[in-house]
Parts: sequence; structure tokens; C-alpha cells
Amino acid sequence: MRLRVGMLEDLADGAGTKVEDGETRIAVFRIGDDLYAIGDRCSHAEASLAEGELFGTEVECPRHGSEFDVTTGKPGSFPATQPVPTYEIEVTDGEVFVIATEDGA
Amino acid sequence: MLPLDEGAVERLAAGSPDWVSEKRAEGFKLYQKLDMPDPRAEEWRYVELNFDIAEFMVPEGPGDPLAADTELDGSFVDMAGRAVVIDGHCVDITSDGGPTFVSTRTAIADHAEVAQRVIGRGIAPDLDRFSAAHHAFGSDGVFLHVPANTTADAPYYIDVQATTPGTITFPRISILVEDNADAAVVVHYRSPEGSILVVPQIEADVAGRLSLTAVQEWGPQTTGISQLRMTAERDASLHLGEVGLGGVLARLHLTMELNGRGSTGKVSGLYFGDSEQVLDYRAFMNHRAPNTNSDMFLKGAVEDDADSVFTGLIRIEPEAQRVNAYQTNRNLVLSDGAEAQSVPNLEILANDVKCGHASTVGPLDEEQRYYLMSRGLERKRADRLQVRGFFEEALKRLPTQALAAPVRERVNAKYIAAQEEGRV
Repeated sequence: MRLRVGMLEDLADGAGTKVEDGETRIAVFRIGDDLYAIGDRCSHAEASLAEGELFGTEVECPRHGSEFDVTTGKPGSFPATQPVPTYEIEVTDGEVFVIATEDGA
Repeated sequence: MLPLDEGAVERLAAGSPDWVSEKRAEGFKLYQKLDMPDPRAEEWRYVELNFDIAEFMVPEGPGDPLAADTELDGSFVDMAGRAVVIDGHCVDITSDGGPTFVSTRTAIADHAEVAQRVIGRGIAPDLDRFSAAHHAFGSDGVFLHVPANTTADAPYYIDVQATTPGTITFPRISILVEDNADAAVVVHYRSPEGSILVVPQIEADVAGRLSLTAVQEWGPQTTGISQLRMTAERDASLHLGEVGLGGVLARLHLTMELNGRGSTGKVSGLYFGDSEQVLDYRAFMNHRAPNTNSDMFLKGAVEDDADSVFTGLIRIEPEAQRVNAYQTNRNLVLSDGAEAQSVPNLEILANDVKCGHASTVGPLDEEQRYYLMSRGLERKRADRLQVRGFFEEALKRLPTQALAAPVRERVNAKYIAAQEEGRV
């Protein structure tokens, strides 16, 4: 399944954007010219990681402060211990899509 | 540019109908008579004004527009209308039809009868020297009239900019919401660097339901003296959302008049001051009819050498029985040099009311920090979570929820910048 995120120029640098389709929730982060997509639900308490703050490539969960590496989906600090899935991104003519497979790429 | 004198008044009054010119003349007379406010007056306590209005000039036309803030206005899926006001001149206004959403000038020229019911009637010119000057030298703004039984599905967005350093400008927003009508308005205040004085007035007469959210992001040397008055008729409801982030001195003088039986007034908001900012809130909730309800809820933080002031007054008139009224003001003081004043007042002249207030000022909670750190969070992260959690309650109450995400980000950014530079 291919979900539209938006136009690349509209995605703020250093911030997350949430895309949803039914149960699937994906957070897309833009860091300079790079884009990363990971599961939006924090693996600890399901808060939205897209609303978190980015420090380098680590996003800080807004609810309990776990950090996840947006390049790998792995948690770097408590309380989360499980990784979140990562997803592939496609950019076509400045339009950003995320490939939403069942359990990530 | 025009100095604030009789010549400017004459020039601005040219071509206006009598009722507008008369208001202007009255404002000018008061402007000549009133001095700058004194911090010894209760309404200006804690705030020193080290300038006079007369040091500033009125621009003859609008300055250069600022770049669009796509993160904020892009947060709306839909808008019922959009206006850009620069230096007190409405330069662009569009809407999707339905309610009248036009510039103040157009309203005076083409909708005289209904315009006369609202424009210039909200904030008394004798409130202070700023209001007098506003009435004398104001030129334009936005007018919204929502007729009875009309619902505007999406918010109206008004981008109010003050862009010319050295000037004083007077944008005005006048709103009339008739019986059983609904409207939401978002006002975004912005200015660039440079010494700018801006005195906006918003007046709203509501018989239906109005929510108004002001996102104040004045530039770092801008002084914004904002005056806002909303009145509610029978069973009407008012909700003001306030976000105060910018300005070297940013003041809001707010009055809600609950004139009609069964009407409701709500204020929900947050503010965050840093460097040497002064954020000054004066809120007056007047219950003038029975069975009226009000709830004021403001949360603020200050860091560096910033100061914040909240003084709130709930006044309940003798005829206003069976009233529920509440006000809450909570403050976080994040640096030693910062100060927060919180002064809630109740003035109750009726004898069958429920009325209360809560006010707190304090630093981050050591125990919460200890708990979070015991769970493996480093100190900075624990503090960030506390600040975030503190504001979340206020963000959730904002009437236009689409604003919560961009506002959350801007509030957090202020604290994170201070953490990274070691200021907190």
C-alpha cells in the first residue's frame, strides 16, 4: 500500500508528519534532504512519535521520553524496549509517498 | 509617515461618514488629554512603560508583507475566509461566500447599517491613552458579520502584521454573530525585528456562538498592546483561545461581558516568555445576568529574565444569581531571573453563586524530576517532559484544535533552545 505524505517542500525540516490509513499510523521525518519513516505508535504506550522532538536522528516520544532512532526504529532509552517498524519512502516529482507494508520494511 | 497630530486625524477622516468621524474626533480629544499609564494604577501594576506613543509615526499605507507562515495556516484543512492586515490596512480578503467578511472600510461604505452596530463600539476610547489613540488614528481592519442561523464550518483566518519599524499601527477586528449562528476566528499577530508599536482592538458582539483564538508572535522588539472586548447576549457562548509567545512587551486587556441570561464565557490559553520579554494579561469577566457561566484557564512559563503578569477579575453583579465562575492561572518559573505575578480577584455582589479561583507560581517539581530520572530518563529529558505536560492541558482546551500541533512545537522549541544554550 502506498500512502501519500505530501509535497516535499511542505514538510518542515527537523519535524515529523503523521500519515494514517485505518489502523496503520506512520511518522515521516525530514532531516535536511533526508526522509525517514517509522511506525508512529510508540512501542511503550502508543503516543504519536510524529509529535515528538527531533535531536539529530533521534526522536523523543512526547509522552514518556523514550527516544527512537528514526533511521532504524530502535529505542535508545527507557521506558520503551521494543523497536518500531521502519518503512520505505518514495519521492516522485517532489511528492512524498510511504510504502506501508503490514509490518514495515 | 504622519506624526500623531490633528493633521493625521483630518487626513484619516477624509471621506468617512459622520458617525465614524465623530468617534475619531472624540478619540483625539481623549488622546490629547490622557497621559501614558502609570504603574501605580492597579491595571498597570508591575509594568513600566519607558516610551510615549507620540514617539511613533503612523504609516500612510501598508509596508512590505511578511512571508506566509505555512506551518500555522497550513494546519487548517479548510478556511471559511482569509484576510491579511498589514500596518492597520486590510490588503487582501477573501471568503467562500455566506457571512459578510470584508475590510472595515468596505463595511463602513457598503454595509453601513450593520457596521454601525459594532465598529468602534467595543472598547471605550477613554480606557487608556492607547485606546484613545486607536480611536483617533485607526484606519482599517476586518469586519465579520454572521447572520442568524448561519454556521461557518471552518475558521476565518486573519493574518495581522505590523511590518514597518518606527511606526504605531491600529488594526481593528469587529465581529457580529447573531442569534443561533456559529463562527470560529483565528487571529495571528506577527512582526519582524525593529522597534514597532501596535495597538490592535478586537470587538465582538455575540448572540450565537463565537470562538476566537489569538496566536501572538510579535517580533523581538515589538510592543503589542492588545485590547479585546466580547459581549454575550442571551444563551450566547464565547470562547477565547490565547497563545502568547512574542513581543518585548505584549499585553492583552480582555473584557468579557456576560449580559444575557444563560450565557457562557470561556478563556483558554498559554504563554511562554524568554529573554527580557514582558507578557501582561489583564482579564475581566463580568457576570451581568443570572445563570451565566465562566471559566478562565491560563498557563504560563517564564525563563531567562522574562516577566509575566496575570491579573484576573471575576465580577458578579447583584442581579446575576445562580452563576458559576472559575479562574485558574498556573505559572512555571524556569530561571532565577524570571518572575511571574498572578493576582486573581473576585468581586461578588450576588448571594447565590459558585465562584472560585486557583493560582500557582513555582519552579519545576523536584519530585517529578526525581521520579522520571529514577525511571532512566536523563535530567534534561525529564524536565522537557514536565514542561510539555504542563502546557498540554492548555493546548487541549484551545478552541481551534488544528492549532494545537504547531503551537505545541513552538512552545517546545522555546524551552529546548534554552536547554541547549544552557539558559535553564
